[in-house]
Amino acid sequence: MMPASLPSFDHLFAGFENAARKYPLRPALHVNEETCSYADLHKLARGLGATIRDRDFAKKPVAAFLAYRSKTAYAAVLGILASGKGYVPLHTGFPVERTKAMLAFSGADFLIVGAEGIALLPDLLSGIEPPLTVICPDTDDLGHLPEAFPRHRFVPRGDCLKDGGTNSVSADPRSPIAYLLFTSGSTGIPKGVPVSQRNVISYLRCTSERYRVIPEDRFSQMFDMTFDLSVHDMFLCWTNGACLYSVPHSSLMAPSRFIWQNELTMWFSVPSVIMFMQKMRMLKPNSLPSLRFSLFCGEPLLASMAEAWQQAAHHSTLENLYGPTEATIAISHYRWESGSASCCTNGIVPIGRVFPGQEACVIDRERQKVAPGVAGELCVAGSQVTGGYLNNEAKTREQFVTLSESDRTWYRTGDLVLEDANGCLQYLGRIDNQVQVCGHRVELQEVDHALRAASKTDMAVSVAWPIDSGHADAIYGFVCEQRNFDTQSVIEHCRKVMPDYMVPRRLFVIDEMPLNVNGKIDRPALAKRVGELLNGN
Amino acid sequence: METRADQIRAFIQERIRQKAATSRQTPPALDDSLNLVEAGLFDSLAFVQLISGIEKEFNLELDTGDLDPEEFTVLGNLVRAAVESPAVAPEAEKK
Repeated sequence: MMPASLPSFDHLFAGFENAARKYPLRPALHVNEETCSYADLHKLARGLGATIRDRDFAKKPVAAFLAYRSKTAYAAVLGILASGKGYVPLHTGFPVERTKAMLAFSGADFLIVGAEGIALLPDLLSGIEPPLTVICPDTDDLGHLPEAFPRHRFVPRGDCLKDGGTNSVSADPRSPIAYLLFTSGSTGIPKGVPVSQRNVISYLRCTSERYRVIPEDRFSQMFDMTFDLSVHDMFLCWTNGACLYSVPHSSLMAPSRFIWQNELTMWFSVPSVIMFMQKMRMLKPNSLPSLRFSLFCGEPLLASMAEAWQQAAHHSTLENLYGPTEATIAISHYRWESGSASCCTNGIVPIGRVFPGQEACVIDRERQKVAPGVAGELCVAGSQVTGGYLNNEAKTREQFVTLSESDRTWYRTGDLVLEDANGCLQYLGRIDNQVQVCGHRVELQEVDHALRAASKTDMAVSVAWPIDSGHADAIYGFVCEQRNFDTQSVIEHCRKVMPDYMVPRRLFVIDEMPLNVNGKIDRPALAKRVGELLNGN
Repeated sequence: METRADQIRAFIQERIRQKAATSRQTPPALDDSLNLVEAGLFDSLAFVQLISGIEKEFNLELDTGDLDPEEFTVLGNLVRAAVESPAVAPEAEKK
């Protein structure tokens, strides 16, 4: 079937509904070994939308849901949108205090809860002052909840409407917000990012065309809904009549079997999945033949990983996407070609060019645009850039700025890039990771690359220590347990490729990399370790 | 006599105890049906490090290419996969 030209819609739910009317019997969602047709999912969503609308007096712009990889989780996203509101995803695996803070901060007065979230309700609801309407479409047995929390209203399964009548998206209220997500700030205090219908639809138009999505496509759904890359999975799929495959929790780490069993055609995940599959020897050449497109986003993609994936998914076109939540899902792309490692900087695949209609520029510390080839902070502008943080004027003014001779708003990404001779953006690291060592500016990413190359492992990291307001005495390196590891030859390699001040003063071999709550390597913990290891000697 | 499987199992159990201690969790019951990932103890990076540890300690190469994730994230299955893995040349003496 040819890619259908995307019918025009101005609301995510209308986009889903167009597909549901066109392909009522086609599969829309595969979750927990159950397949749900477009007609079924449409009905569920309209029922939830009408259940909200019937009880909606305050007309708040957003409503929340607490569910995880269940039919109800997906129906809740669509149901909240059908009610005319934007959705706020809450995660059953997050600490309850954090979820409580997100719920309170969002201002939502509706909460849809899947079967998997019910047990969390007593902790979550205690201490929540503003009255909530808690919709539980999976159960009639609410136990003592209604008595324990008389302030809140509960809607058990039996009281949920089963269908939403003929109305499409509710016109009243009709919130401009599509979803509200939280990003963790460098200070540790999460920031709320409302993303508008207009922002998302701009992204979907561009990517539907770019990836020529057809109703026969089968999409991976790896990302948790609290991560905006899940919006790509759901809505690039559903606005084009394709089927979404929710990857079960137990397969998230090593999804190869899930991919070939379900013959997925569209892949989207963080690159660290590749590293894991490589390590587990799961990426054998031609082992993932069904994939048409392989997209990666969320962290730097190493050329070695891209190559390994490309060998396994040899029929697929591989792209590296890049974008902060504040600029809606992803805003730039780079198409990987086998053997294009020479286009990479520090072994990291470029982030490429911004999507048509979006703009990028690179600025220095004085917010002046820099010439191509000069490193600086990446700023982006265009229809995908959101309007700022929820109830945080100060932070919004800091990150969403105007630059000279133009009145448009640029979002400062905090990412360090340079535009190469091909007009391609190269990712160099976070601005925050820049340090001065003996007066020289050092990008730790570059030291990491030298360490990885010399030690032949991806588990190699550098840190600056001791750091005092961006200045450090020296760089130290860490590598993970290796056979026959020769630290001296690694240091010698570093001396050949980097100036002295960048060469790690010591290289420590450790059994395990410390990881932070997001499962990423915890650099501050490593820096602390340097102090301990040196003092221990 | 302690078999190779027992040694590998003991090694993994020790790692689980360490992991629980550093993340301040109560160690779960360490029987063969324990799913290391589902128990919330190991995420992907931590699991990779566990596998590296087993490979190094017992001089083997784990190949999980065709397995269902459950076939190696469950303690007993991981022990079996490790026992059935081909051995590699023993590590040279460390300097």
